[in-house]
Amino acid sequence: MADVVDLRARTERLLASDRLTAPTRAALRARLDRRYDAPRLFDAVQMQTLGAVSARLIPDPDLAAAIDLAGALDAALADGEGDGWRYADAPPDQRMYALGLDALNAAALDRFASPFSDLEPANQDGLLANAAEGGLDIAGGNGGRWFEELLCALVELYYAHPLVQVAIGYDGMADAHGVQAVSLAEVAKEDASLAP
Amino acid sequence: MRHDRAQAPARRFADSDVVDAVVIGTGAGGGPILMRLAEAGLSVVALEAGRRWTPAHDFATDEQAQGALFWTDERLSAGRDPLAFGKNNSGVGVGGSTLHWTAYAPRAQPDDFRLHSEFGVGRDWPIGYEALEPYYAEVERRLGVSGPTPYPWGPPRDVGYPLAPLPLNGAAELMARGADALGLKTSPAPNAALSGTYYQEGIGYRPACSNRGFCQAGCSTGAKGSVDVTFIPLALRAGAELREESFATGFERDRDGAISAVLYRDRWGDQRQRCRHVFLCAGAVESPRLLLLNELANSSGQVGRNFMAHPGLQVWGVFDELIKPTRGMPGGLISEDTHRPKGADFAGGYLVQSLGVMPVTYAGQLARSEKLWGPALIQHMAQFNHIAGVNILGDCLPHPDNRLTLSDELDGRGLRKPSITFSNGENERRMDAHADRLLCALWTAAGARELKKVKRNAHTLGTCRMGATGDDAVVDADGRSFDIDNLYICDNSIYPSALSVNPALTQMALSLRVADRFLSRQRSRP
Repeated sequence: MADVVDLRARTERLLASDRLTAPTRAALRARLDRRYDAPRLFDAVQMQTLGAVSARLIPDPDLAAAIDLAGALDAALADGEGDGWRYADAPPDQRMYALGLDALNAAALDRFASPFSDLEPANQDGLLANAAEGGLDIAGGNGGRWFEELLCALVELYYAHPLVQVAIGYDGMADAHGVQAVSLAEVAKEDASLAP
Repeated sequence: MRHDRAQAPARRFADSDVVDAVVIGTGAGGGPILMRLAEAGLSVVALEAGRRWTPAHDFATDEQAQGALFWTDERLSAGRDPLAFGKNNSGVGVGGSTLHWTAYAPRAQPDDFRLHSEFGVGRDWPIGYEALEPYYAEVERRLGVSGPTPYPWGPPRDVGYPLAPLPLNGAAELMARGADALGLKTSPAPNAALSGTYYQEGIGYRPACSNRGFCQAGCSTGAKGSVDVTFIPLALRAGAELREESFATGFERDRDGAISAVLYRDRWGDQRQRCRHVFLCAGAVESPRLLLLNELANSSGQVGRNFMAHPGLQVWGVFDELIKPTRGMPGGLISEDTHRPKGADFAGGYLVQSLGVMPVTYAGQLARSEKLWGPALIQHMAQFNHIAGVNILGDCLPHPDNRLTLSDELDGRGLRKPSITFSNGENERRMDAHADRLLCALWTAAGARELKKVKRNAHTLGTCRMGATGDDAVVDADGRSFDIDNLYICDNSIYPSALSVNPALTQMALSLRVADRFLSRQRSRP
């Protein structure tokens, strides 16, 4: 991952440019500047577990400090931002995420006599791989679905972040100048013209 | 929170007026009906659960910010293949799901309407392609569909597409390359987005598509022919009244059982609009839900039954070429050579399309479908600008056990949530396996590496099917309820079979036909 200072500078240049429409700039600006205060839904242990989980699912140490995925998920759930559906055999989202984090931490304590957040990365990955396969025992729920929902939610929050979008070279948000290059040849030509 | 009714916008019709029709929903089902009835001089009120957007002002080129276009009231998903709703399906706001429609606009083929006659499974439609043909042409003209003339598949057409095809993007060029190697015929796809400036009486000029590729997150320019920029302006010009943020909850009936008023809730509280007819066009989840909540129009026991969702396998890959996958129409290229594949071990068939994609959608799908995480996820997504996909859209057989019921859980309005049970049957599984082989071969021939598969079903269909008799269908071929004379249903819920094409274009054609049949019946009354 690119140097975060450089990435931030490039993102600020994009936001300051005339390549974004006003609603696009407003949306990206708000997300870039967003900070999360004390968690509203998860307790301290759950937040620690969630932070450790997200560091393994989306291992990006350089950007992790700049992008508070655990805070973002807590806020989205506390705001009741539903996604329009849930598995009929899963508890409501707000409870389901917390139950899964509790179950994962309990599995860590049971197997390694240590909270999940203090485990070696390899042991954390082992427990997560087991959860992905449905091996996590969640009261009133399905461990595999918990993993799927959590992974999907974190991944969507992560790739919606302007720093990450700039880091992967995505420039689809910069559409204020009208007609864009489409074909392989045109896109290659456009890229060559943008090269330093 | 209750608001002061005095702050409400001025209305053309009062609640106590008996209007000719109330249309519930303003998407691909309700929009065309609203326009047709208003232009015929009827007094019509549309109820829309969401708000009316001003795209140039409101729409960001950002997936998360555009989440408000999706129907996010919670639905419960059960069965062996529980469906993802939200982003995957229904829309909210004036224009309905056409707001986040890909704009892919192929016509169904004549044999799609006769699946049972051809294969002995599924259902025939009570109307055929001939009945819809003139309406297909009308809808293509009204939306401004860009596509190839002549179109390489299906019967010859009297009129071609009103606009030339849109330019091909990277995914489309790569699919053409792979298809050439495999001997599969392809064509630029018909898309309801403008390849040139387009003028329409009563609407004015709509601009050519700028290739920004955000069709599925709302078109900010008006180039896409979503219902809000095509049918709705004409309906309003003809005198229809549109009530935003108005959620239908029930009905009043007279002594003969006919509906005499629609009950709904808006910001100011519970409301009631008296009417002579109702057109229920709230989609294949909310339409049956409203009927079940009110125990209405269900003497057949079919309301909620035969929920269908198109098999929609996607295969993605990484290419050497720089693609920038949001550029251009998401579905640029089409092949219908698989409409009735030779030697297939399943009924019906599918179409193949190329796929561009937005980053959050792509990453989320991979997480859900391939459970990609850790360094593998980061490395794959770092190549986002080199990603392109292909997918299928295939027929889905109706099955009575795939159904919508009411859960005991209540939503924020105090109404029972819908619960949808869905399992792909043997036919869908065989089709999926066939498509899996073909798409992987196609993408490998095109030069893709790191193939990723996204197993999915798309669209919400069935649950209030039309048919010849009220014994096993909810509405007749004109969309009229067998139980209640002045209740019409016209949205994807009345599809008796799923058809092997994306449903929006056919829906709009069907809606115009339902409106015309209704109007001609009104005129012939003494």
